Order: sequence, then structure tokens, then C-alpha cells
Amino acid sequence: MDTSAVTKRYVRERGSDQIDTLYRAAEQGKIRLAYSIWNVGEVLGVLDKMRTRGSLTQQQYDAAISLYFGENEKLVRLNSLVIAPLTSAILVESWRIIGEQHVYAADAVQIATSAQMGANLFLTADKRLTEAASNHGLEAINVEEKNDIQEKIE
Amino acid sequence: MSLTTTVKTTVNIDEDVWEEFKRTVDRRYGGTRNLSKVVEEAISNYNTLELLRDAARALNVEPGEYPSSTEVETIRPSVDGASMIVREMRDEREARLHGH
Repeated sequence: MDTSAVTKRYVRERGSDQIDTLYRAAEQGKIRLAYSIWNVGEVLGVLDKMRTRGSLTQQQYDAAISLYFGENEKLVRLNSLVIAPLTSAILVESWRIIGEQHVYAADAVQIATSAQMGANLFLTADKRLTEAASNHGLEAINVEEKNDIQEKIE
Repeated sequence: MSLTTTVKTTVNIDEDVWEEFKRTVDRRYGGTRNLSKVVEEAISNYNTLELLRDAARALNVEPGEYPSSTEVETIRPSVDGASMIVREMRDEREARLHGH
């Protein structure tokens, strides 16, 4: 999962229903979710930006952060979520992807992590990243556009 | 005062990788006395659950009971634009790196 997909779990917006379906399936042990350790900083960055812009009150920010840490630790312990380390193999692959897909390093890390983990689906809410991941041979879904997550799980 | 326990263990590592690792530690610390510490640090980088907890501690998030799915979906705020901020942050960083 790209950061843009993960954040939808802790801030309700377009595409959150799709992500909720995935998290519930993961909690039931039907699937395993994964994202890069890199994304932790981006999730926190997004929530912080929303707070500083006034889109989130301090109370809402605190709630979102607390839910994020609590649920993610729970899912890792259940073996329903893998927070992938930023290994040298992923970094080297991401550098190759930068040249191949003409994307920024953080985007390349998303694709490289997914590829290295052998993910069945690559989930994002970013059009550019959906295209780059597809071009790299991943089955990429823009969770804001497609509504067939349940079918994919089954 | 906290007490930490260390363990002595045996693992099989590719010889070239190990020698290069020792050379790297030597270059950085002027010797290999810190080898165990650096190996421990490398292992810690792999332990992402501990990193997640470190992040929570850094933000003073108290470890509480794990939320249920229903709690997450009920308590979280409803605000548009979170995923767009990810693209915005990455583009901003790229623009800064290119001096735009």
C-alpha cells in the first residue's frame, strides 16, 4: 500500500470504504497487508499538515494518530500487516525504477517494496503512481476510482 | 537503572558480505570494537514493529488498548484531501531538490 491508501484508514474520505474492506479482511486473517517503513513518516506528515492547515483539530489529530499506532501494532502482531524494512535490495530496486518510470524516489520505494514482497495488489490513491506501478508489472488499483476490492479479496 | 541482557549467537553470513561489513565499521569507527553495536543497530532497522513503537513514543502517544475496526471507523475524522497531501509533499520535496 502506498501512503495515500494507508491514510484513508485514519481519515475518512473518498476511497476509505475500499481500504476498510481490506483492513477488515486482514484482521480476519483472509489477507495480509504490507507497506514500507518509509510510509510511517509520510502518514504522520499528512496528519500533521492537516492539523497545521486547520483541516483537523488537535483532538482529531490526536485521535487519528492514536488509532494509527494502535491498529497497526495490533495488525503486525496478528501477522496481518507487514511493515517492510527499507532494505538495501529495495533501495537498489527503487533507484532502477526512478530511471525506468521517471518517478520521484518515494514513489519508487512504494513500487520496489511491493514488487519485492511479491504483492498481489498495489493500492494507491494516486493516478501517476497507479500508472507507474502498472508499467512496472504490478496489478495496481486506484482506490478512489475502482470499487472491486471485495472481488479481489475473494 | 535498566539492565539489558545480551546473547551470544551464531549465524551463517556470506564471507564477502561480512568482510565488507567489517571494513565499513572499521572506516566509520576506526576499528571493529563497535561491531556488536552496529550489528544490533542493523537488526533493529529490520524490527519495524519496534520502530513503529519508537515513533509512537516520540510523539508521546500512550500505548493503550488496541482499537477494534469499528472503533477506527467510528472515531476517525472525516476530511477530504489526505491522500492528495501525499502527492503534494513528494512533489514539493522534488521541486526543492531541483531548486524550483
